[in-house]
Amino acid sequence: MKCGENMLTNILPCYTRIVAGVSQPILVVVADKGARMAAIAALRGAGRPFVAAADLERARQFLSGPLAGLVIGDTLPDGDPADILRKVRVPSVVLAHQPGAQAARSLVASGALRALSVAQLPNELVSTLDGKGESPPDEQPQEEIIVVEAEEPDAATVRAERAEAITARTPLPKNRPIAEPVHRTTSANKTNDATGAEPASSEARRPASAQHGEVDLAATLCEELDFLKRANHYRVLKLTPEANEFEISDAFQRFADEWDPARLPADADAGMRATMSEMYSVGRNAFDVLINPIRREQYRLSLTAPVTGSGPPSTVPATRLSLLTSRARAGTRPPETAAKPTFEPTSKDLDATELFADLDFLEPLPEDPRLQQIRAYIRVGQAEQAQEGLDALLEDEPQNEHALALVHVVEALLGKERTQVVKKEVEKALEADPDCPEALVLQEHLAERRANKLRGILQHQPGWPSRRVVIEAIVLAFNHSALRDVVGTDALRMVLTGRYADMVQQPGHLDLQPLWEILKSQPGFSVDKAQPPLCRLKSWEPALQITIDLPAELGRLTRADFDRLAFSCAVPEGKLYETLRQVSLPDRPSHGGSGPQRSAPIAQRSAPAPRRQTPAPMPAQRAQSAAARGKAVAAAALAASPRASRRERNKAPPGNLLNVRRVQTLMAAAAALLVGSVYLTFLFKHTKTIPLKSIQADIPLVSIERSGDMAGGVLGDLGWLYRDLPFKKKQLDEVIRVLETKGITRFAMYDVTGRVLASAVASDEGTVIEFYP
Amino acid sequence: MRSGQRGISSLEVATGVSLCCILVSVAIPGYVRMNRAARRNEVADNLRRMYDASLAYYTSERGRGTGQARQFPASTRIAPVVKCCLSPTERCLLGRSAWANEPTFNALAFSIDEPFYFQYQYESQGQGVGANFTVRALGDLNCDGKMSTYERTASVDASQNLVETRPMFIKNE
Repeated sequence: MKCGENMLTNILPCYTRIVAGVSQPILVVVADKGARMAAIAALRGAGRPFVAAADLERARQFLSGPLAGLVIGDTLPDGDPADILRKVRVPSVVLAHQPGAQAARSLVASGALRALSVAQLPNELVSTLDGKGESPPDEQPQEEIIVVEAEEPDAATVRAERAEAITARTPLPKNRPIAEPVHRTTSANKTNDATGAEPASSEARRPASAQHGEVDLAATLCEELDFLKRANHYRVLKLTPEANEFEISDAFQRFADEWDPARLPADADAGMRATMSEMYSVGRNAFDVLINPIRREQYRLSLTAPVTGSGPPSTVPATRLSLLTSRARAGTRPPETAAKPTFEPTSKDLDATELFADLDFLEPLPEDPRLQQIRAYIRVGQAEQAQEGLDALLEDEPQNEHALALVHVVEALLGKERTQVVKKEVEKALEADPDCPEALVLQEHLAERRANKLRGILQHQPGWPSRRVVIEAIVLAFNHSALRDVVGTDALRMVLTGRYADMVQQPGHLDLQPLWEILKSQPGFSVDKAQPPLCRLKSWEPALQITIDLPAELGRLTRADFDRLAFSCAVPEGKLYETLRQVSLPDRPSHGGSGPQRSAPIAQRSAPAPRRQTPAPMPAQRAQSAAARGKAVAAAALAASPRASRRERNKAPPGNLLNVRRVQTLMAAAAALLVGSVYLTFLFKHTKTIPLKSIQADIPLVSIERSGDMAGGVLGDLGWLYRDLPFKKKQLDEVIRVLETKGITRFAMYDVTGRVLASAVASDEGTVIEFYP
Repeated sequence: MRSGQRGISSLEVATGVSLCCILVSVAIPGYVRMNRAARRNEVADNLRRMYDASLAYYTSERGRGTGQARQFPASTRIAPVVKCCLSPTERCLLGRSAWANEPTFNALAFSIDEPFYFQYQYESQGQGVGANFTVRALGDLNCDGKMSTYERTASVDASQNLVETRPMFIKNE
């Protein structure tokens, strides 16, 4: 058996024979057949033994034996080439499928000697493996690198990966060719550009490989554009969802290097320039979305929520379409029977190409080719062409139900700005043809859109403010700013109601950017007018218990500026609390009620009773929780507002059992109870102290306490007891007489231990004085 | 404490302190009642001593007066003359000699060696059948002017038997 191309089917005998020979083989692991054959040819030309494998699984069989070198592709279908590179400690060369490919660079960093292109293989492969290579890949002029057209995987693999990438919204591995712009890939073209001797024809602008008839560059570009439009933003920029801002910027720089139309020669073909502009705009759009944290988060939610089933559970039920497409994805891609029209997107909201992408995996309906053509038009968003085709078809077959359904689908696409129109047209389309795939797609899209809106609105948690609370707070701030003359209260409330879902993409998170976008378009709007109310609103974050993101235009304010602007929006004292409390009440009094109109908040005073559907009666439990939540928010607003009145501050907030206000009240009550109890029990005395000066006694008394008609005095100097008895009696008699004028008839004298020393009782018969031994 | 958190917040500390305060506040009246019960024990004990001594006095030879008819000790003044809540310790203390200087208390061999809360008084009248006596304790423990009164009374019936006229009389306990 001859070793070489046919080794894949009978590897081991050949390998054994080689190892038994004089020299050790070089392992070639390249998935692309053309590149692999080129490497084998180079080795064969140098008379070097080799073994070859198309993937890692087969290559592993050779790893146990001795090897002289390794030639490995930068992408392999079943794993990371770096794995095998780490295991094999022999001179290694990476075969790059694309000049300057990141994968090839990383493999060189992992230990490979160089990254070579196919064109370099005959001259440099063996010398590099033998250690005679020269310049590293980065120093190689890019103009000399010719694109290696990787082997096109089989169609089923491509379909499966694309379907997975489109539906699962995950980055697709780079396993397909992306044609390089001509000015970067061909030295011949560079010569033409430099001399300018002859205009660059489409043939001259193709890459070198295309010049050899391998690739039609224009078709490749269109295919690439189509692919990029259907891929998600991460895939467009070749990023992972975890990429940070620096990686995004780098990725976009690389993308711009490849696809920026400004890099085309001045005399480049207009069609190619347009195509590249469009590709560049796709990348630019992806960059704009991913670099902005808010838009990126919104995009992430839009990716994860509706289709994949990962992340938050979707509220969209499985439809017939879902079953059809999932069934179709499992099978093979049908051959394209209809000519694919040039892509011209007509809508951003209803991007038909993205919307109907899954339908490419459906078996084509056995129907009139004209209908298939019309469906193709619809699926790329060319509603006008589809309409013309339908007109022609319906002239011949007026009762064709498929065509009638497609008429409504086209109407729905044309009325994309109005959801109700789309909804009605979809219903009519499904009436005409219940199995119309396009109508089913639109129906599912409407359901997803509705679910997304509801998710933003309904995801409330205890403690988060309700929609009404948020809206009324915004209206309150605006009403006390110069914007009041720019945006009317009613209009503002309606706009906020309509855009609430956009503003609260994440529960508990209010983004003011959509509001800013609307305000910007208002006549009389200026940034100076808008800053104070928005800053004031931001300062209410603790009160509203919601995170508020200011518009990007206000993001660079210093703290001092922010405080100054917030202060300049002078909302009256307690107004926020009052407004929130009014909003939070489940049974709000009507405007025509007898309540004092002056005290009502502006938001309520000017409320126009807007036309709206009567809401379904709220269950009692929900109403109570909503009221409690609202009151808690209002109470928090009160606590956060230093200007709230004392009366408002003294109102105990309901809500959580342990909130500051409740605990403060509890502590105050407990402290008062304790102090009162201790005071009354241990400290309070019913006795009254008689000032010693009023007695003017010569007895050395320390104090005299009185209770009723009795008094007790404490003798400070016990030496007085040893004085003469008449003297003592005389002095005691003087005391009792003085006390008698105060209504006291009995007096006792104690020492500090409570021992009774003497007593005096005044009566009509005279004073009875007694000393106790 | 929320799950996943360590330690306790100031709110929880404040709540705990408040609850403790409330508990203490509730416990204080109980403590006061317990003190009052102890004081009532003092009264009951001392009245019982005076009462028993009075009965013993009556049945002894000392109770036989000059007229050969038995009688109780003579009435005495209240001792001490001023309520004890006016003392700096809110309790009175009289020496043994002070008690002995009063003939009736001396006859009854009555004295209180520990500090006490109440004023004590002994009243008697009559001789022979119908003779009676009252031992009384008066106290104003918090000096609010409301005197608590505890009394025990006994008399001699027609059979010359000493009988307690009524159970302990308590007023403004």
